[in-house]
Amino acid sequence: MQKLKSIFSPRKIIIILLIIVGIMTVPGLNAPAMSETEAIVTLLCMDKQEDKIVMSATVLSPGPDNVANYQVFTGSGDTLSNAVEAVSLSIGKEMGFAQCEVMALGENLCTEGVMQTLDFMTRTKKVGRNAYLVSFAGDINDFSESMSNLNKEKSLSLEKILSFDKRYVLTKNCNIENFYIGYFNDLSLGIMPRLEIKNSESDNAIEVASGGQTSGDQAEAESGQKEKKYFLNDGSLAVFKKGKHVLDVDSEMVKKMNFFVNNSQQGALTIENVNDDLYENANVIVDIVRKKNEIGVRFENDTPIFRNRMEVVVFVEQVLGDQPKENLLKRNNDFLTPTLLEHIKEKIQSDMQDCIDFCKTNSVDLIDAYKHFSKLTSKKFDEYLKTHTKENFLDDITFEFDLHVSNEY
Amino acid sequence: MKINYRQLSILVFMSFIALKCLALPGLLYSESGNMSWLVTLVLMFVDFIFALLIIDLMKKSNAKNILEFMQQCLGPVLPRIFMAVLVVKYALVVANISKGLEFFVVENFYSSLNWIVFVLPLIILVGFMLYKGIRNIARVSEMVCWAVLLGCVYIAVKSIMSVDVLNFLPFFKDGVAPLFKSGYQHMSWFGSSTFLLMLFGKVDFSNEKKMKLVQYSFLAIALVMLIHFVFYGLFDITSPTHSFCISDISQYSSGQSSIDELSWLVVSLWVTAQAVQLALFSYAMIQAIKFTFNIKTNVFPILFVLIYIFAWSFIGEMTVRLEQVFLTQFSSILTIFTAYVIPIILYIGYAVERRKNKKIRGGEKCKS
Repeated sequence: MQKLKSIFSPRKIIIILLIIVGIMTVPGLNAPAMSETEAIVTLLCMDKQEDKIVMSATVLSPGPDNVANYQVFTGSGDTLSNAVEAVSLSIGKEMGFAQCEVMALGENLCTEGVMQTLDFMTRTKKVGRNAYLVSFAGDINDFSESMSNLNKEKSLSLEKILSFDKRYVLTKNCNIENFYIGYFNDLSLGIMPRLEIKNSESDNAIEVASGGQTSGDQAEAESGQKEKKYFLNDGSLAVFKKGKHVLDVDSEMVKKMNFFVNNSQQGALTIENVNDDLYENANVIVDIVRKKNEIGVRFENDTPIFRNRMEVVVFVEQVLGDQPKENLLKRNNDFLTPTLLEHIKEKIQSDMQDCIDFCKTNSVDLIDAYKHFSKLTSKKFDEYLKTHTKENFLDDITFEFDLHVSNEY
Repeated sequence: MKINYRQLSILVFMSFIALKCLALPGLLYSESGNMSWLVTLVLMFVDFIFALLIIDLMKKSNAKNILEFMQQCLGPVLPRIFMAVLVVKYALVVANISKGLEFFVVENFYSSLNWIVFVLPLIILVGFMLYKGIRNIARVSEMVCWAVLLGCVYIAVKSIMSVDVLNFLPFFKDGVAPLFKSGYQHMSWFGSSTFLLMLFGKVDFSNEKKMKLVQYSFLAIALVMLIHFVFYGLFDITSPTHSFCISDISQYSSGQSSIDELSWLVVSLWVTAQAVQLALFSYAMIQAIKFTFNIKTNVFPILFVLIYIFAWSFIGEMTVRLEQVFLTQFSSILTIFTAYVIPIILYIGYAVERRKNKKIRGGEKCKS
């Protein structure tokens, strides 16, 4: 014990610690800064062009006065590995993907299948599974340049835009993890937001200048002029089956789809041609302040029944059209008349029915009916699936809507 | 230097949660699917029962060390064999914690980390704690215990709104057989109460508050179940691909790829807690080595254990994946034997011995 005490005396421990700190500090001070050897990729875009994988990485590098500086580097190769290597070689740094916030996949790659790409990037290259996953339409270089410009010129970031989408538009966490969960589930269904880079102005698109070098306008690029591009995020979705892009869902249908999602923030509804004691042929804009869904499933005489009970709290925002001037003196409560209430119910029910019809027509279960039946009534649903396929199981389900609409005040 | 009953309860708490919140949930899911939580719950409850049993024996041992107590109950030969088996068990747990720590730090903190840079200070820390003895380990556990508890609750609660309870349904879809198989296969992650065997004679029961142990054990079970609930609720079918339950939950809820600052702190706390566990099971291993080979001094066993931990940094990577060692039948049988069979044999031995003594005393009384 005395021997041990002499070995581990406080003075010796401090000396040993100092030696270790010294061993660690000297090489640490001598080593180059990590930013000189590793490129921190924050946005990774990939697509397929003429049998080659094209990769475009937005790299964060420290700029003067601690201002983040984003630069775009592009490379291509026969395989993903070669494409990564090409980008690495062109910038002389190892690519560090652990901080990648968004992975954007081009249309060609999406059509061909994305799972191998996702597997390579998450398992081999350590892209975090909580990185957002989006699909984009348009040229890959235009897209990545536009995203970089969005950041430089408008102080907007794609990650923040998608974060807003998650809360208010799609209401589902469209990250790699959730795409994986969807892919490995029975229906092998996944969704991701769909973004677009347009050459011409369109509704709701943001103008973003693009370098123009890759879009074929070499002369314009050389002359220093930038070709205008427009970035569109309208809340539409790309739907994937077995990892392959099968269809797009427009923003209107996404809104309808959200009536089946509990935590979605719905936005406004336009109720047309309302006529009663208060309104004269009015178009009323109603804001859905909040809503609560309860999805229930059951079997009645071997018929599956999907029930969506929904409590909706609304607020009449605007009344369009010429209305009697005394209407302006009404209290908030008075605006939600019984007729308007009925119209709202009809509108929501019709929207939900549209969504179901869309799902049936396209054989995509965007309302998680399969999940609810297979989890809550598994035995009966297994029986039901003996006479149906995963493609057409929605056809013979009865849908019930139980709507309760009330005023915010 | 003895530890008090509260410190003992905290050591039980820490050992209960130590190996349960990293690779285990993902590994269990591969076999038992959405009922994996039940396997953990049942086996943790079994561990709790055996912890109570061992502590009861500890009280009955009259401050004897485990070897003396075993020799009193089971004769001279069997205890030495048991000690040798326990050395192997502790060695496996030490390797598991050490390797788990390495993967955790490298994957979560800095992928280009030279493990030697981390393992050297770790070994000095563990060496110092071993030199200071069980009281030091217990005191450090006391300090980090609440921080670890609050940190884990914070991580779990932050993500709980994203949990999909449908992931847990339907119950027992594939029956109970996979649950038994999975429980048996992953037995090495349980049997946490084995370290208690080496604390015979080291606990002061004078201020015993009986409910303390029950409270801390149930708290540990509740905490582990909360973490597992959130984990399976978030990751569902992709659970087997997640090796670091606690940090993966934290990363999921952060919304982007970088973990937010507070979660970093919690993840760092987890590393501290694991280091304390490494010291605790290393301490148990040292005691078992001393009893097996009848070594009186601490120097050589401590050095041996430290070299052993250091060696795992190389051996583990070069030859085998530790998980594979842990998933063997040998490892499961070893855990069942050390965590459950030895205490039962000891209890029976003690009961027989007591009966014998009563008879002898009865005979002596009759004679007199």
